[in-house]
Amino acid sequence: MSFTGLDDKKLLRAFLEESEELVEKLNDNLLQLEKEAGNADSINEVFRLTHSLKSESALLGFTHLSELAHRLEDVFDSIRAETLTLSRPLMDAIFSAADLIHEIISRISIGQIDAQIETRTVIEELAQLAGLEPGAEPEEPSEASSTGNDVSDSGQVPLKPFQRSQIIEARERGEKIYMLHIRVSEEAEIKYPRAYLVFNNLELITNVIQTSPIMTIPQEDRLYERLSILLSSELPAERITAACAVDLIEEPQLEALDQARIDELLSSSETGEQVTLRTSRSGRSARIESTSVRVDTNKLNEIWQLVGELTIYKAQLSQLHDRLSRQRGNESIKGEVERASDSLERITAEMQQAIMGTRMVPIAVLFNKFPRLVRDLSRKLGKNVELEIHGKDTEIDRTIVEVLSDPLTHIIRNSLDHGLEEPEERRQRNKAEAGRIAISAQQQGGKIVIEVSDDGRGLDVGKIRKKAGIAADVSDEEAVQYIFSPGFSTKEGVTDLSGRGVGMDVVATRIREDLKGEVEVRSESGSGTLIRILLPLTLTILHSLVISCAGYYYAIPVQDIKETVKVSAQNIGIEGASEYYDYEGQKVALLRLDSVLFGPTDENTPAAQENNGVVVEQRRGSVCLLVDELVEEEDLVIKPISDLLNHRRLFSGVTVLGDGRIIFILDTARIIEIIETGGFDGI
Amino acid sequence: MGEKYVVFRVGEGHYSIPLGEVSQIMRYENVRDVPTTPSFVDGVINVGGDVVPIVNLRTRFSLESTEVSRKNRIIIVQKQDIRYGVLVDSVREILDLDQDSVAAEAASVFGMKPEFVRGIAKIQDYLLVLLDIFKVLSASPDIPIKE
Repeated sequence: MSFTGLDDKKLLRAFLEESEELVEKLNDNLLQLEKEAGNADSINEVFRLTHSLKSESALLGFTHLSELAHRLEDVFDSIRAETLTLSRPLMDAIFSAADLIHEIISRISIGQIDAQIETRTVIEELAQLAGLEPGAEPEEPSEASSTGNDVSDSGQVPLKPFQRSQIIEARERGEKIYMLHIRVSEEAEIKYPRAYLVFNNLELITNVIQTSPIMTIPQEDRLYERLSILLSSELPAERITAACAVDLIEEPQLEALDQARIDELLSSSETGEQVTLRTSRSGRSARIESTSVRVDTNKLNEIWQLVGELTIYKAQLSQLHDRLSRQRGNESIKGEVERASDSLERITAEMQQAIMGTRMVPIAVLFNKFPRLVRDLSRKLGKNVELEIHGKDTEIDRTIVEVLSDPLTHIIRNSLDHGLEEPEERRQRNKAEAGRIAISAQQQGGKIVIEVSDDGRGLDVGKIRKKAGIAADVSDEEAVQYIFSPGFSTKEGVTDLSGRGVGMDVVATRIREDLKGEVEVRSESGSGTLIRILLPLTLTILHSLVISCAGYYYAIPVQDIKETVKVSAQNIGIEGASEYYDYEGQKVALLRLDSVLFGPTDENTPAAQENNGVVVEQRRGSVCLLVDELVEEEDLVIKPISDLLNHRRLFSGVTVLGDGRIIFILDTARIIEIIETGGFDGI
Repeated sequence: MGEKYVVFRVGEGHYSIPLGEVSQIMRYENVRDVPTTPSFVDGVINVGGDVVPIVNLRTRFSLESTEVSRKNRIIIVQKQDIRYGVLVDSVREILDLDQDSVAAEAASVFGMKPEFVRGIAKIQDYLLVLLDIFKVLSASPDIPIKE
């Protein structure tokens, strides 16, 4: 291929980055269109997206992808022109095409070429439903087209049947047919991209019927010195020539074809269907190395651990440097050690950041697949469902995402399949005909909380009691938790519950054993079910406030903190055995962290006039913690903590800083819970 | 073929755990004091960014404590996500132990409670206690390991 002068890798990287975003936008807009078929913004947006995908993939030689995008573009062009309406089957075919595009792009990103995926079925289905002619096979570079054997005396390449019909249709629409000739300046070392810019500009405003040489597959570069474009348009000629205003493009000549020329063109078209056998084009696209690779997460863990160790030696080195600098002499060595130590520090910090980045992903990567899942399922089940998603930005460890995907999908499937009633039943119950499913994620008290709720019929407690043989003195709230007990769904006859809880035992096992999390269910008969998953932060970054207390360091997640305050003796009141802090006229329980950690002390009066207080807030309530010092805010990598260090469960994790300081992360939710239940006696 | 065991000493006794349970053996260095832990937790060390509690087996076995010396070793063991450091007086050797030489009945040796013992082996001049280290580590702090 001849435009090797361009940096293929860079182009490919940019293409992959863009197309990922593009596919996401495409899906969003399609979902929007499904809700509101006539949404003009979405129609235009999809048209724009498919158009740029078509051009960009063609530029990189991904002809199958380009053709697929082209077909979608055609469909949306017709919808835009209101010659086609979005029917349900058409919408389905469009979604299949979008899926296929996604699939092809992910294959390309792992170094495969687009020709390895079969696109014809989807394209034909689209064309049939949209009443468009199926496009020609992607034009493969053949001897014929590059040597110009087929060019007739007039220099005209014969038209393909599809191109022929394009001309006829354009005439019917009242458009003019033009032939445009351009030249690419000799100064341009590589001609193709220049020619392509013009081609692309024209594609946006006119209907390009044929180019010679063909643009969708790069030919030998010197062929692009001259480019002829056959197009139809209703635009004035100036607008079309203006599209040729590209650097190093010379002498654009636009010729409006008269009837005689058009007839000549039409008669010169190929008689038979041109059938080209598609052979997998080894080479070009496969040669380009992909910029992303799949990495075993174990390997990432290994690197992570090594970087952790590196930080310790970095700290040791800087300590050595401190010691060295206190001694006399060796000035030059001191300077070098300092520089080395500084560089190591900077690099280690950057490495830590980079590795951290590879581990954490927004939960959106998981949540983003649910709109499609819900759509497809609701279509299949004939239910109308509105899906709400919150907290997409919550960052979560990659390994958790991988394990969580299946259980979460199952929960949502269950909600849709069994939780939500049929439309008829919902009407009878005076519920909105559209069922509601909400998915949310947030970090709370050192845990990630994921909730899936629906406004369906709720669990049938009676049946669960009967199946699991639950004693009468067990409350309903506890009884429903039995759907999570091992083997529940495999019990005989449970399928009669029509899935209300089927497979939830498997879900619970995965969450409890593989993710060391918790799962609970709340259900109200007739009004819905809520499944809450609590996941520990096995390796999660929490932005935290580091504080000191009695010579040790602790951290409070910033998201739990309402405010830091100065507490003076006058603001402290006593109520019964407990102290409270007068916080803007409200009584907030006051807790001395040293008493919480080391037991009550005799000295209850603050020693200083001004004490540092941290007001933390949780769902259950608030508390003001008195601490010694507020040290700094830090992004902390939270590690699981051994029971041996946490027998009172006051901590949600532990971490070690680069300088070796150990920091315990306070579980504020637990501390508040202990206060509420009358714990911390005598404080 | 036998299984490999790490043999270590705590007080007068010889104990061992399977080599497969051991991830690392370290010197007693950089142990940091931490608050509010059971008496037998000497502190924590940093192993590859993890905060690992150090369980002093002498204290855990209710033996008189001694000054830490050059001979002391920390044996790092790991269960699921959590790593523990076990402080022993010294590590003696790594031994190939034939199952035939192990008496499965957990006779009380050195006053060890049977539930923490996997077996006893007679090695030349001493008796070797095959310890169930994870049971020792996960036992509630107020339960003594020795009777």
